[in-house]
Amino acid sequence: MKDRIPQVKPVEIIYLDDIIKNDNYKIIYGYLLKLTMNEELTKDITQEVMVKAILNIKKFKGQSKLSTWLISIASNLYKDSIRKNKYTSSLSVEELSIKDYQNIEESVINKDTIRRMESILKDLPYEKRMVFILKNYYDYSYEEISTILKSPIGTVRSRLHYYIKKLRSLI
Amino acid sequence: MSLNHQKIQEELLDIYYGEKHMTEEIRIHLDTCSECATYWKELDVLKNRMSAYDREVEIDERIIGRAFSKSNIIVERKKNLKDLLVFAIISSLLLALLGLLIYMGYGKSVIIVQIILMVCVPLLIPFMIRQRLMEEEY
Repeated sequence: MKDRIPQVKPVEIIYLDDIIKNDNYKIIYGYLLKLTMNEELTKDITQEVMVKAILNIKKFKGQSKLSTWLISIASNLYKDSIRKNKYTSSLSVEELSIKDYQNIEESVINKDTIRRMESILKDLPYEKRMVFILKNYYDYSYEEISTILKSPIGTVRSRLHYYIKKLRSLI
Repeated sequence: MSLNHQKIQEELLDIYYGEKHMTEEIRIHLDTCSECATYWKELDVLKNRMSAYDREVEIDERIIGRAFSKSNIIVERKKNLKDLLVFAIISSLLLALLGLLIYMGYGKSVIIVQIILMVCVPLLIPFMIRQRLMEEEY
């Protein structure tokens, strides 16, 4: 690790090692994939997140989980990419793991539902999508989400409620 | 939907996502109200449907490698910029000092010192090279 990036202290090497290990990479990639629904954009932003994390590792004091810090960076970079109009969604439904469905007919119906869901999800504001992803998939508390997204807890709660309401209308 | 149901369902959502605890009052309401009981079940269905997006991620070493290379380039660029800034400041200070000495009437001495330096410094180069080679050997 020390060969890969110069001028780092031993404690920072541990953090850098943690960025790659302990599922942190998987968390960032999975979070961004759900957020962007675009493989290429996910790869680009994941790389940018890692670059930022490596360069700013000295600023991480270990007050929160490393994954929380990384998700916060990922969220900011995604917001930037939206502002630069980089965002396009192209995640194929076939790429998704449809693991729970027993037969082909059920799988086709569910893929159709997912397609409809995806088209609506893309139209919903990204701030709401971020809150839903962090809550539903990563089980962060309102307080943690509020810290990650720098939004008040009340706003986080109302965004989640709004998102669930929209999703329910799809089922 | 009555205001009461709406309020209960908002509470149910917070309970479902672990933000609040299930109270006895809400439990009793769930047992008696089909609308809210359906809502509670729908939250489960929703979670299951959305799990389709939760796919297994494989670590791509190329992304990690590229991230480290890019970081190194940025660190190197920052270091070069810092060196350039230090060089610019030191040169400006030396130039200002020379200007001041010339202004104070030491122009002739400055030229003599410069000539001595221009003659002596190249003579030191073989010793500096020898020193460097010795350091590299060890």
